[in-house]
Amino acid sequence: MRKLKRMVQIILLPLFLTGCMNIDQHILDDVQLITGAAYEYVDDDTIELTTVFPNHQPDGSVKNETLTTTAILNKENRDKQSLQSEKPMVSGKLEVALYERNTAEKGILELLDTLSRDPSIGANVYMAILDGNPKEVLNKQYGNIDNGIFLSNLIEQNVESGLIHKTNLHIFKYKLYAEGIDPMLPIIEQKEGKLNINAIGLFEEDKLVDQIEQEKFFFMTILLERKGQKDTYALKTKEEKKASIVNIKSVRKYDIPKPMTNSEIKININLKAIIREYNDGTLNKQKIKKVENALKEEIETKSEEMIQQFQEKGIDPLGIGEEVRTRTRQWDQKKWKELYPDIKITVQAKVKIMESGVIE
Amino acid sequence: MKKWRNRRSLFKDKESEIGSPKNTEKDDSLGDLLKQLTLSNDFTQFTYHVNETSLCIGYYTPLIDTEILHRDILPYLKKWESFSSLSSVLPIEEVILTADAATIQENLLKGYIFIFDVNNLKQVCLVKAGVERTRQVSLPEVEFSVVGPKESFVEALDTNINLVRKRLPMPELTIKEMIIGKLSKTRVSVLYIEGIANKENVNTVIQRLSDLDFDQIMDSSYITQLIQDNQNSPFPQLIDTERPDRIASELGEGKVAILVDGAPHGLIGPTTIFEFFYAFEDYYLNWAVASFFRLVRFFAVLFSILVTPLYVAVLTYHYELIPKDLVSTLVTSRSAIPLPPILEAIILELAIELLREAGARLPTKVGQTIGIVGGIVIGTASVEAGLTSNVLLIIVALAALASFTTPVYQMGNTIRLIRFPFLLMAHYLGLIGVAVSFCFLLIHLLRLSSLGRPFLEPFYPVRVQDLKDSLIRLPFSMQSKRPIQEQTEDTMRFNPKKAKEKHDSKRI
Repeated sequence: MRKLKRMVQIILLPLFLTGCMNIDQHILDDVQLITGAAYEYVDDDTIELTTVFPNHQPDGSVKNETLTTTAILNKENRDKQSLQSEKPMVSGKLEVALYERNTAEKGILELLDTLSRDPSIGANVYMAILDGNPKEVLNKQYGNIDNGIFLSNLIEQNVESGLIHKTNLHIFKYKLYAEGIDPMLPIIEQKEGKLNINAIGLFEEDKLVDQIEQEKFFFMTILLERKGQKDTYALKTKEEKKASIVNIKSVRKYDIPKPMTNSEIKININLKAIIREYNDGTLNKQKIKKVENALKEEIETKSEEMIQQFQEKGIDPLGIGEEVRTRTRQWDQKKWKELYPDIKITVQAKVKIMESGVIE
Repeated sequence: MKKWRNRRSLFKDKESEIGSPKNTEKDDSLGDLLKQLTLSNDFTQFTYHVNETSLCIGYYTPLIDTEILHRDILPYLKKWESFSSLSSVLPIEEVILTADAATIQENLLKGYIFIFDVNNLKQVCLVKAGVERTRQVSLPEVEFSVVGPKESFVEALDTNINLVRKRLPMPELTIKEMIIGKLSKTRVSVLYIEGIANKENVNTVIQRLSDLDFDQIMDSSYITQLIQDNQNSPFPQLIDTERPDRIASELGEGKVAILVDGAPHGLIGPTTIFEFFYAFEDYYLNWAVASFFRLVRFFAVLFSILVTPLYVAVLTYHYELIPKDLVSTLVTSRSAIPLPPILEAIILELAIELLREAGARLPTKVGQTIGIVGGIVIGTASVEAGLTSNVLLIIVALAALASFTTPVYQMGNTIRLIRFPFLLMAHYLGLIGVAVSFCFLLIHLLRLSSLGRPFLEPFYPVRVQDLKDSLIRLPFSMQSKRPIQEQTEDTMRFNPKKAKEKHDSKRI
């Protein structure tokens, strides 16, 4: 009898608990999935937020749609947009966050708050700087998908093929808060109706201060990653003659004999590459040797040039400071900032062409 | 139970009322018996005159072989001299002389014929002339295998024991028989190999069987439900199999088997959950192939339990988890559907259950048609009508398919059942609900035991040695030890060193 009573209690309990089960549901097709967001400061405090979301057509195709509102807070913007939308706007599927160039130059720290604080947004959201008016750029349809996914695919594809550095919200925030390294973000522009990663923006703290152009992406990636592969470079051998080189394996090593002093810092690069295209007659051993030497020269001069540019601006996207920090107990960020512009940093490269194809 | 007893006592009262007190006590009971017997129309009784004596012969017509009566009994009765010489006259080994009414009744029901002298009711002769009408040993249908023997148990206990014993021709194979069921009087045999099987296991089975108080045992599945450790668990804790080779092999591992008269399935215990995912064909295939299939089966089960709940949980709560390339497919397939994911899933799951149930109850040929009509027509129509999404249709169909990969039918049913609590929890709590249900499932399995032996062995408790034949099956040369699970008296199956030797070089 007691057992029976107990059973009845156990059965009844869940019935009384149904009120506690009132968990917020987000049924996939009843929410508006924001896939991309672009931020622009219209004045000192007001943000213009343009969100991109897909409109799935019954035939399977996707129409790109955008909403633009202005407000001081981002979530305020989202609420304003929900008022214009047939379904509640949710940000859990956010794939890419874009910052207008002038906004990025002003600093994006305050705009990052909404991405970091919202638990439904992952740390693998891609970030980029947009050259142009977000409203206009995002309103156009670029592929068979909505622009959020399109941009995310664009960046992802280029990161995976090694053409640009690894980037996402997590990496950006790490570099932002870490001592001795500054963040970078790809800059996307719209050119003749196509989106295009045309440069990499360099940040000092959270402000965009400089950029490096497409031609230097190769040096950037081999300097940035301890081990790299797959990125390509078109080396000029003569006037109008070039050799396309693919990085098979690059190893970067820092040689810092006396950290936290003015002494020289050496960056050694050991590159193994193949020639994929060559348009200067037949390719023989001497020519390969020449290409090797030319590439070595190129890497050393261009890299050093680039590093000099960084030093002049006082930014450190390569994380040289971080390398120093790992080698010393006397790390002091202020002191390092004073030292950094005057340190002699040299790049030494070793290049080996492993393969040049089987063309006679 | 009380009611039943009352009824029996009522019977007794009637009997005593009817009985007439004119003859001796024995005559009285025999007369009563005869009266009771003739109430049933299938009881035949006639007098047969031999040498001035009249013999009364009686039997239950459906239970005896009339050919035996005509060929082996009636002609020999001519040589009748005295009652006691009957046993030497009749060419039948089992002739019983008795006067006890209870014995007579019992044996008549087993297919005996009674013969007695009308003038002398003190002795009744019982002659065995029973016939067993069973079907031929046929192909296994539930546990069919492409390779290996294709005999399966039938409904006759003796045939079944014969099928096992011919695979284990050894005196140590011991069979303990008992009668269970007040009404059905079912013969139940416990099989084990003396010297290998653990005494404790054997005694547990025998004790549980002999303590049973039940009226009818119609099949071995009654026994499973009555003697398994946890009777409320949806998980069967004894394997039922229709393959005599499986029973013989598991007896050799030190397990105990139960065969029930009238049941074409034998029971094996103690067992573990993993054994429910072994097809016996695994032992007929190369070990690598067999291991692969076992893993496939095991993942199929996990898939079958988890995939629909995951679909419901993710679509209801965790849209963040959907890969960006899949969002478009899912949203498009769901956009026309007015129902929330849980209803959609339950409708489809129930539809599949209906199809299965309809297919199982109908004759084979109609069943196939129903399967096709239901599967294709209803499936396509429900997608087109916008009741379910085609993604879910695929998922549910795959899950149903996966649940049929379990070689033991009972386990397949269990798996289909436990999907539903998972589904509901997925709807209430999302992925946490799935995790909570999985915890409950795991705890339940951890607490289960089969004849007192752990059900999740060799994973809990961890017995590395028994892993050789669990999720994967290692080659025979590595299976030299009997499973620890069975706690056998003789742990070695064979000498592992000798098993690996091939004396080819010596032959030349």
